[in-house]
Amino acid sequence: MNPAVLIVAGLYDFSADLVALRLTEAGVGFLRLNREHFPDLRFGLDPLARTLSVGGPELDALVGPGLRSVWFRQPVFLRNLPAEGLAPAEQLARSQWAAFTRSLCVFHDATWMNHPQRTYVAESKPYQLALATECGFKVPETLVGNDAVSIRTRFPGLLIVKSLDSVLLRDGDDSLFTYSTVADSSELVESNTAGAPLLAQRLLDPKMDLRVTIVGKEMFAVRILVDNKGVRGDWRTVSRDRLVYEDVEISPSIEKACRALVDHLGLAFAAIDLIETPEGVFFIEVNPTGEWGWLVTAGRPIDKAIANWLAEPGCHAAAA
Amino acid sequence: MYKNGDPKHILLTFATRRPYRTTPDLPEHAKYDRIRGCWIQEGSPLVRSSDGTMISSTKKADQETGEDQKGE
Repeated sequence: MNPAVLIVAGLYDFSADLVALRLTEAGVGFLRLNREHFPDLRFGLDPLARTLSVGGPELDALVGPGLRSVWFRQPVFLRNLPAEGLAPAEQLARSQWAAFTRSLCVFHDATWMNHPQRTYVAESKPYQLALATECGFKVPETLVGNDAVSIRTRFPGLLIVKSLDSVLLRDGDDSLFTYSTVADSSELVESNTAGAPLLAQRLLDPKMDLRVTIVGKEMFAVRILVDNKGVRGDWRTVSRDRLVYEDVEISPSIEKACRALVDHLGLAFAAIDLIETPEGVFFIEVNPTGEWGWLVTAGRPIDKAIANWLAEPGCHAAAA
Repeated sequence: MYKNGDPKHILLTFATRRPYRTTPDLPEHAKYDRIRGCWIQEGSPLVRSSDGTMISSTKKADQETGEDQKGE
C-alpha cells in the first residue's frame, strides 16, 4: 500500500474519522497513524530515500511513493507540562515520538495541512495580532506582559484577560482550562500577575462572535449566538445546548483580510475568531489547529472540504 | 519563577476546573478500525457527518477548549 494521504492524528480525534470516511467515499488511499498506536507498529523511516515503512496489526504500508499530502494533527510543541513526575521510559517515549512525527517533514514534496513549522509560528497570538493589522483587520488594543501597573494604566475599568497560549493544566484528578475572561483591571495586582505573562485587551461590548473556518480556497463562516444575541465574554463558557451557529456571508473586505492572513502565515487550514461590534469587525485570533467537528452539517461540509484538499492539494490554495 | 506559597496567578484564578479524563466516554461496543481509520459501532461508523452527527463527548471536548489537545 502506498497511501496518497497520510493522516497523523490521535485515537480519539473524531474529526479525523469524518475526513477518513470522506476519503474512503472518494476512493482515495490514505493511512491514518494514531499516536496511541505507535508502539504497536513497526516503523522504518529512511530519510535519504524519503520513505516510511509501517507494519503492524493489519497494516503493511510504504509511505513516500505517490504521497500527495500530509494532514498533521499532532502538537508542534509541548504545550502542557506533566503535573507529576514521569518515569524515564515515559519521558523517553514522549520526547522521541514527538521528534519522530516532526521527522515526517522529510516528505517535503507532499503538501501539508498544516506544516508544523507554519503552525509553530502561527500559534503566537501577539504575532497573529501584528500580522492581522497588516492584513487590514481592526484589532483590539492589546498589551502582553506581567506588569499589572502598566495593564491597569492602559485599560482602566473592564478589560479582557487571556492567556498567551492555551492554559490546559492538570491538578491532581482535575484539569484546568482558562477561558478569555472579562475582568476589572483593578483585580490585576503585582502578586497575581508577575508570575507569568498574560494578554490584556480592550473590552469590546456588545459583540457577536464569528468563526471563519478556511480550508484551502473554501471558507465557512458562522455567527455564534445565544437567544439570538451575542455572548458577553467567551462563548465557550455557555452550555452548548444554548448555542446557535448561524451561517453568515462575510464582507469582501473581511474575506480579503482573512485570506491575506492565512497566506502570510502559510496555512492551508485556519479557524479564525472575529467579533462584530458597533465599531466594526475585529480580529481576535487565528487557530492553525482549531477544531471544527462541532460545526459540520450537511450545508457546512468542512470534513469534505478537508478531504478534497488532501486528495487534490494542487487544485486548491496550497501551503508548503 | 513561581514558588510554593506565592499568591495564585490570575489566569489560575479564572481557570475552570473539571475532572481529568484521558479518554472520552464511548458508546458500548465501539471499536477503532485501523483499516478504515475510524471508530465503528455495530458495523457502522460511530461518527458521521451527513447529518452533522458527532458523539456528545467529542463535541463537548472540542467546544470546551475551542482548539486541539491533540496528542497531549
